[in-house]
Amino acid sequence: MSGTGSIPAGHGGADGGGHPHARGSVWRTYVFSTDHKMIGIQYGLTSLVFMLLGFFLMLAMRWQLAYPGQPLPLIGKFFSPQNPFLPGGAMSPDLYNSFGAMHGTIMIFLGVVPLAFGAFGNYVVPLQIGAPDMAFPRINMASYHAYLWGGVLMLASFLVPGGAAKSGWTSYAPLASVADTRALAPSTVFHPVFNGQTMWLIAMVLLITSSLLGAVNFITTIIQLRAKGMSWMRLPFFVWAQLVTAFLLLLAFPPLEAAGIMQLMDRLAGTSFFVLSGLYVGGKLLEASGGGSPILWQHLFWFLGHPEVYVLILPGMGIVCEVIAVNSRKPIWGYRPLVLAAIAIGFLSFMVWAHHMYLTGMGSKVSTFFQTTTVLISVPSVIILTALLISLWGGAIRFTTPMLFAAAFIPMFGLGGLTGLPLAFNAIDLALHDTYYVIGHFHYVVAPGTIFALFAGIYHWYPKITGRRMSEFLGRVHFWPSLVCMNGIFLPMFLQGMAGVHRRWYDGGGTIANPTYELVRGAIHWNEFMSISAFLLAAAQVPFIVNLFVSLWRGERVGDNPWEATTLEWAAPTPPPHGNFAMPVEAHRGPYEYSVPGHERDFLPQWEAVKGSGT
Amino acid sequence: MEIPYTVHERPDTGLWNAKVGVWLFLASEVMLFGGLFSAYIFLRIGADYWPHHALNVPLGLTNTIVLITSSITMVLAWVSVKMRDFGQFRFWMSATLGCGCLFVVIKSIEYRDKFSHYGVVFRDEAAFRKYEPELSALGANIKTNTEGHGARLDRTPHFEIAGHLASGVTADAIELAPDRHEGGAKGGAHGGALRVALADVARWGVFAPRYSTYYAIYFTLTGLHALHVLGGMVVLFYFLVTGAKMFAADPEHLANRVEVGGLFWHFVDLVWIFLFPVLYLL
Amino acid sequence: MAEDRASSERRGFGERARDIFAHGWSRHYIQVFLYLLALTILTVLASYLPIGVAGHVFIALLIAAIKAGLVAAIFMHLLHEKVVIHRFMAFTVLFFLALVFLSVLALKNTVVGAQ
Repeated sequence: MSGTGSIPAGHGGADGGGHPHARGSVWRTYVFSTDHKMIGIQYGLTSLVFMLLGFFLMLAMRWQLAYPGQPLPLIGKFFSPQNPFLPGGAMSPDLYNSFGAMHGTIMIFLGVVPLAFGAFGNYVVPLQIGAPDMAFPRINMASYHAYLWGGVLMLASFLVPGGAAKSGWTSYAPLASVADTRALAPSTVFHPVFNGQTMWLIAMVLLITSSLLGAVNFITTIIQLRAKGMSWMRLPFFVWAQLVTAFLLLLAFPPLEAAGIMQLMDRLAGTSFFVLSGLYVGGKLLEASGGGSPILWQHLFWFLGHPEVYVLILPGMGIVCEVIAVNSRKPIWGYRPLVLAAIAIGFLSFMVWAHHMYLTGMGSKVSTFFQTTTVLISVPSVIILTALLISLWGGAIRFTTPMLFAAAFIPMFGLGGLTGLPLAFNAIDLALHDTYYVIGHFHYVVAPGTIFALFAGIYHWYPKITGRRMSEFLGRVHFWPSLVCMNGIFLPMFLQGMAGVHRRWYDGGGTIANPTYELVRGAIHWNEFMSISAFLLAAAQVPFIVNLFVSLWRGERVGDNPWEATTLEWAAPTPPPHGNFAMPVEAHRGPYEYSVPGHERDFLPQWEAVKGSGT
Repeated sequence: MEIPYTVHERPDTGLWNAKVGVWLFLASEVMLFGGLFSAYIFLRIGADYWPHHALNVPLGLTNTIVLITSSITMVLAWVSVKMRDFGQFRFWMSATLGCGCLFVVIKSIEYRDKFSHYGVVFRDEAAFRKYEPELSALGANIKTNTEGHGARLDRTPHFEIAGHLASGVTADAIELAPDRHEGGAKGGAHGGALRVALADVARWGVFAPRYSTYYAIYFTLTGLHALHVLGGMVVLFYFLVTGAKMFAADPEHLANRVEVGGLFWHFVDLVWIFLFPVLYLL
Repeated sequence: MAEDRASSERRGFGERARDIFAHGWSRHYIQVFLYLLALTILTVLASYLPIGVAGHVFIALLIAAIKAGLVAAIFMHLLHEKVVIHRFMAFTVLFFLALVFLSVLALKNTVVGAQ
C-alpha cells in the first residue's frame, strides 16, 4: 500500500492513533519500525515522557529549596523517618544531588536532544527534502532502540543501592571516579557495576552510540536523498539546522565517549585516568596508581558539552524559522546569511569549549583565545536572531499557537544569549562561575528558548502527523501561563547568581556550615517565588497534554496543507504513507516563496510547477 | 518502497549512500581516538616516569606487518570483485581474515605476558638505595627518572624494577627475579631473586591497567582497537559467507559492500599505524 | 573534452574499475604495501637512535603520518574521492587537531601558582 493513489484530503485520523502505513504485525509497525515517521513519533513520545520526568525531579528540588526540611507535598507522608532517601518525606542531601544530576542528564540527553533531533529531524527532514525515507532505515531503528535502552538504564539507576548518579550532569572527576563506591560512602553496599555513576556511564555510551547512528543517517540522507531540483540553497532552513546539528553530534560526541570509557576503566579496572596522585577520599589515601588528570575529563566533556548547546538550540532555530515563514506570509529575510550563520556556529562551536574552564587556572594566552572565539560565536547567533526578527516586519502575521511560541522564542532566546556574553569574559566568569546566574543563562536558552521552539514545532506539524489540528484555545491556555511562569522561574536566578548563590546548594545553602551563606541571605527569599512559578508552570502543561491526546479524536480535520505552507512535507498525503509521497516530487523554487507578486494565492509551494516563475 | 542510490552513484554527488555513511562513521572514529590520544598526551605530560620500550617490540612489529598485509589483501579482495572474479575474492578475503586472526592471537599473547609480569615501585629514593647493591649484583634493569632516557629531573624521583615472582608474596615482602639490562622486557628469570619489604614499596603488581597510567592507556587504546579488529572480522566474515549469493544477484552491490568493509578495515590499520610507535617505541 | 571528464567523474571510481586496473593499479597497491613495510622497519630502527625524547616523537609521528597518508590516499582511495568527503574529512582532521593541541596548550599555559 506504499505510495499509491492521489493526494486525498485528510483521510487520516478516522482510526484514532492507527497509522495508515501499517504493514505486517503490530510489532513491526510500532516497535521495530524502520519507517522514519514512526521512528520520529517513537522518539517524540519517549522524549516527552522523559522531559516530564526530568521536570518532576526539578519540581521536587524546587520544593526542597523553597521549604527546606519540609516533607514533599502529596507523596511525603508515605516515607518513614528511617528512609535513606526521603527521611520523613523530606529530601536527603544525596537524593537532592541525584535529582540534580539526573535532571540535567535527562533533560539534555534524554529529553530535548531526542525531541529536537530524533523526533523532528526524523519526521520532518526526509519529507522536507522529498525523500522516501532515511538512507539507512534499519540503522535508524537501531538508533532509537539504543536511545530507549540507554534511557531505561538511566532510570533503572534510581533503583540500585545508593541511588542514581550524584556528581552533577557533568560528572566531573575525580569526584565521579570515586562516587558511588565504598571509598566515598563506606556505609552503603554498592554493586561494582550496578551503581549510580557506573550505570550513568554505560547509559551515556548507549546514548552516544544512538546519536552517532542518527547523525550518520541524517547527513547521508541530506546529501544523497534530496529530491530532484532540491539544490542546497533550496533546502528549508530547518534542514540546514539539522545538518549542522548532525555534524556537531557526529564529531563532538566521540571524545566524550572516549572519556566515558576511561571513567569506566577508572571505576571498573582501577585505573587512574582522572585520579591524581595523592588523592585522599574519606580521610584515607586512595589506593590507586595516581598520575591522572581531572582537567582531562573537563576538556573531553566540554569538547562535547559546548557543541551540545548548539545541538540544543539549532533545531529550535530551524523550527522557529519554518513557523515564522508560514505565519508571517513573507519570505524569510536573509536566507543565505541564515545558512552561513548556522554553518559558522557549527564550525566555531568546536573552538570555544574551554570557556567552561576558566576557573581551572588557565593562563592568559589560552583564556584570551577562548574568550575571542566565544565572543565571535555570538555574531552568527545574533545574525540568525536578527534575520528571524526582521522576517516579521511588514508581514501579515497569523497569530496561531505555533506562531505565539515561535515569536516568544525570539526575546527569550535573546535574553539567554545576551546574559551569556558576560560569561564569555574570564574576569567576570571567575565571579559568576557555578552560580545561579549561569543556571539562569542556559535555562533561558534551553527552556523558554528551545522548549518553546519545540512546542511550536509540535503545534505546527501535528496536522501533518495526525490529520487534525490541535485546539487553538487550549494552545493559548498553554502558552500564556507558560511564558509568564518561565520568566518567574528564571529571571530571579540572575539576581541570586549575582548575589553569589551557588548552583549546587542543598537547602538553599542554609543548613550546612557555610560562611558564604551570610553574604547571599538577602537573595535566598526568591526561592519561594521561583518554586511557586515552577509549580504553576507544571499546571500550565496540563492543557498541552490534554490537547495532545484529545485532539487525536476531537481536533479539527484538515487537508494536506492546512497552514498554506510552501515546503515539501505539506505536499505529502496526510498522514504520509510508507514511502511518503503519492507522486514524484520535485523542488521548483526556494523554500519560502510567500506573497510572490503576480500570483492569486499568497504562497507558491516548492512542488508546484508554475510557468514563468523561476527560483 | 526503494531507497535510491544504495548501489549506484547519485549523479550530482558521485557517491552511493553507504560510502557517505561509512566515511561519516570513520570521521566520528577519528574523534573517538582523538579523545584517547589527547588522554595519552595528558597522562604522559603528567607522569613522573614514562616507560620506554616497555612492550615487546618484535611482537608489535610482527603485528604491524600482519595488519599492513591484511590491508593489501583487503584491497585485492575488492579488486577481485570489481574484476568479477569470485574465486580470487574468496582467496583474498580469507587471507584478510587470517591476518585478522593472527593479529588477535599475537595481541592476546602480549596481554597474557603483561598479566604474569610484576613491577615494583619503590616508596622513595632512600628505600631504593637500600637494595641498590643487591640489584646491581643481579644486573637488574632499573627504571628511573633520575638519569638516562626517561630522565625528568623536575619530578618526584621514581625507582622501579620489573620481573617474575620468585617464590611469591608474603604479608610483608615480595620476592622477585628482576629483569636484566640486556634481556629487555623479557628474560631475567634465570638470575637470582630479591626480597623487597613491602614497607619500602609504593605500589606493586602485574602490569594490568591499574598498575600505572601508561598501562591504563596502553590497554584502553589497544583493547578498543582489538574490539575494532574483531568487529571488522565479523563483518568481513559475513561478506565472505553470504557473498556468493549477492555476487550472483548484483556483483556491484557486493563490490560496494566490500569497499565499505574495506574502508573500515583500512581505518583500523591506520589507527594501529599510530598506536605502534606511540605505545611501543616512544 | 571537459564534458567527457565530468561525465567520467560522475560515473565515479567504482564503475571505472576496469580502466583503472588495466593500467596496473594492482601493482601500484603492492608498491604502496612495500613502502609501508619499509617505513615500519625504519620507525623501529629510529627508536633506538640516541636522539632524545623530542627527536623520537618527531621522527615516529612523521613516519606514522606518512604511512597513514599512504593508507588513506591509496588503499582508502581518498585521492580519488569526491569533494563532499574531502570537505568533511578535512574538518574532522581540523577538529581533531583542535582537540589535541588546544587542550595541551591549556595544560601548558597556566596562571602563576596554579598547577
